Amino acid sequence: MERPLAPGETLPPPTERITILGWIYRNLLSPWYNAVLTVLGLALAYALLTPILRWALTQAEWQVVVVNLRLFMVGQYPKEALWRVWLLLYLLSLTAGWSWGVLLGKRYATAGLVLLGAFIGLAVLPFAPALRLRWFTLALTALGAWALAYRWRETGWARKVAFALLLLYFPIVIIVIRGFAGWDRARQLWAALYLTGVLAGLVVGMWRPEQRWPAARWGQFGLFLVPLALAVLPGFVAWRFPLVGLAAVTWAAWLTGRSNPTTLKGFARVLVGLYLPLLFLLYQMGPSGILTRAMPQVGTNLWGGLLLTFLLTIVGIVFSFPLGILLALGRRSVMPIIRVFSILYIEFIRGVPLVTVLFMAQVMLPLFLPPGMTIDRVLRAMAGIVLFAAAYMAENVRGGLQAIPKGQYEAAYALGLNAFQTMTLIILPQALRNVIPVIVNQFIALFKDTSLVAIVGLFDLLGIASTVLAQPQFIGKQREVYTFIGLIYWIFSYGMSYTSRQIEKALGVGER
Amino acid sequence: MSQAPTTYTPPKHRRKESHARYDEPPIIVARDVHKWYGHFHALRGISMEVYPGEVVVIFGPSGSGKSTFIRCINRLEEHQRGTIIVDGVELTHNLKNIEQVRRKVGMVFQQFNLFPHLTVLENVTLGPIHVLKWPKKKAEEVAMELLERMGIPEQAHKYPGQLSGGQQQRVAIARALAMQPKIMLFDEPTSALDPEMIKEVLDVMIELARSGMTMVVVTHEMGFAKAVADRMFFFDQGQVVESGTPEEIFTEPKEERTKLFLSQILH
Ligand SMILES: Nc1ncnc2c1ncn2[C@@H]1O[C@H](COP(=O)(O)OP(=O)(O)O)[C@@H](O)[C@H]1O
Ligand SMILES: [Mg+2]
Repeated sequence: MERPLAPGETLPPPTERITILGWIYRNLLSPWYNAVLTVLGLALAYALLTPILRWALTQAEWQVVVVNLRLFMVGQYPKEALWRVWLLLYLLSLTAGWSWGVLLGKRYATAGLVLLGAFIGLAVLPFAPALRLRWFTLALTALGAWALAYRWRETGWARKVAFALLLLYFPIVIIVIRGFAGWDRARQLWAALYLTGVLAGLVVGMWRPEQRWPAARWGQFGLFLVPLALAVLPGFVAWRFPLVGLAAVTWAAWLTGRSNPTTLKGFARVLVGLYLPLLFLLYQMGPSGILTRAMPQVGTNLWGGLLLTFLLTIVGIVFSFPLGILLALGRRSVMPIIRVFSILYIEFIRGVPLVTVLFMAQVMLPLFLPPGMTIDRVLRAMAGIVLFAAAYMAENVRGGLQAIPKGQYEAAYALGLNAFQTMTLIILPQALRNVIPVIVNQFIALFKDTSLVAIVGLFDLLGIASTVLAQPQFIGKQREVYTFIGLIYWIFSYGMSYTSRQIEKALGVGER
Repeated sequence: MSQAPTTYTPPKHRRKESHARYDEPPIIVARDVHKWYGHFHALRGISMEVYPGEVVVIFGPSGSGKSTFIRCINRLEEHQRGTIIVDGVELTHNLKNIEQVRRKVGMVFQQFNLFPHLTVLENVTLGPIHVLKWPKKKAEEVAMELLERMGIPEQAHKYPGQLSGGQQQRVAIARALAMQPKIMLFDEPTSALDPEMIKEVLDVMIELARSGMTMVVVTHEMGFAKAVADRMFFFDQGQVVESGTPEEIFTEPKEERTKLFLSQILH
């Protein structure tokens, strides 16, 4: 029935009927050495898995995990403050569901359903009923947020809410977990002054009052000259540092506003709208304020378990990322001092193991602080992790930067972009996109490396494991405990690597 | 404000549709420009004046310094001796001057150099939004007009990688034009294109020339030169060997090297 095609006629592609047996034959059994490998592989899997499964299902006593579950999850975090962790989980559900609905829509629905299913599955497991209800409502929150966001995904505000949630989640986590120490009035006053300074600097900078009133040309400098002048007066010696800081942030905000009035318009508007609410919240952070009473401070010595592991990881990622970018740029800078400093830093850190950096952070960091100021062990560990990860991040980013052709810089400069705009608008977006896989790899490694803080005496997931094993009734339960925390590490590591592959696909890395 | 005296006598056979305004002071003045790469003397005393509305074609063998010279005009390369003055602004180490000149001068590259992570529309609006500080809406309207003029409005939301070479180069032209430049520089804009795409790019360049844009074009497309060039400059070994109107260059070239080179590329 072969006939010549009429002009312009096209045929549908040939359809292939794939049967299971056909698939098995083609992929597993032919040619013959494939069949041998298949058989060997199956045998190996059987030999490895059966003892583990038999042990896990018949011999293992999972009681140790069930009894200590709270310890594994949050360490010594006080029971009466646990609702704060749950609050953050609900906020996470909301953020994830909402941004998924707005940014991804129905894409990756399978992954979403798997996640939902996992939560509902948890709700079915024999946890305490209250706990099961929580798992269930968490899933419901995410689903509801997704559905609403999907409905409104075309509107501008839904996008803005998504970005705000994503950006604010990290600071909110830190604030809620840590709580409020009850600032004294002086501190509150300074915070209010700084907030006001930033806002005033930004708005005045954007507004360019001299265009309306020529007299304002120099008058606006009063914004930062007044605090600076006060700092010099003898009566204000005690306030010298905060005053100079105030002048500096106001000036920086003023410059920012002046240089980018169009792009910052929306941001400034939001900030102005939030000014009074923020002042109110600040007021409630006082010793008897509502915030302090609702969320009293929980010392970092009580943070533990998976919670601490997460916090260390998130802080490590959030801070090492920009720091690493700066170091990478510094290493390529034309200014010799900056370049040499970056190279020395990166090469020094890369030459020592993380454990050393963690010990150094515990014992050396206090040397750099003004006398009388102390920072606690968890913060010191965080600093060590950030400083360590930043060096590796810098090298990854540098790899991405090197792959950008010279023509991209030239085209940007020829358009009239300045060096900063060229970097942020043209070079970094491409460089970072190209190194997403490497960066995520580093984040996964970072997540697992946080377990080293157990050595400097913190009770992260691994640290908690040893305390649990030290309890007399659970001595000798290493298998159960380490299998359990290994599984947890695996689930989150795999989740990250899966997510990064999806991001790569969505951004078309390697295609465009 | 340094302005060169008008020493130039307009060419005898001016093309009818030429927009060159020889009665005005030149918009680009290059006097005795030298440039070294290490010990290699790449530009050996180039002098050239380009008048408002004029279309100038630069041609010559590979490695003769054509790219180096036009890249000096917007300071992608730095000349080490001589002066370059663009629209009254001298190119020195002064960053303000460089910034000013780059706003007035658009450039189109042989390799397009579009930004691959941005859509066509974003490529074209980037400069107006971030350099000219236009509101996004205005920038997009102007960009769409330009894409219309380039004949590719339907490609606005694609990424550069999804376009053919000819389309990419037209986007690059639109991107440069979006900055409302006074001068356009082209460095072999059709050399990286397949033959069937050369024409679509030359067509928009000819249209641009006829609209009165000042253009400095490095090209070996002699058809383009015959159609719209006011003057042509023959470069060899970092020097201007010969210059004149297309008629003069094509019919009565004075220098042996020009004759030899023309005979090579015209056949
Ligand atoms: N960045 C550079 N470093 C060293 N030599 C260069 C560089 N750019 C160009 N050159 C040299 O300068 C000469 C002129 O180059 P170019 O202006 O690109 O020539 P054309 O564009 O006429 O082909 C060539 O010999 C080239 O090898
Ligand atoms: Mg060249």
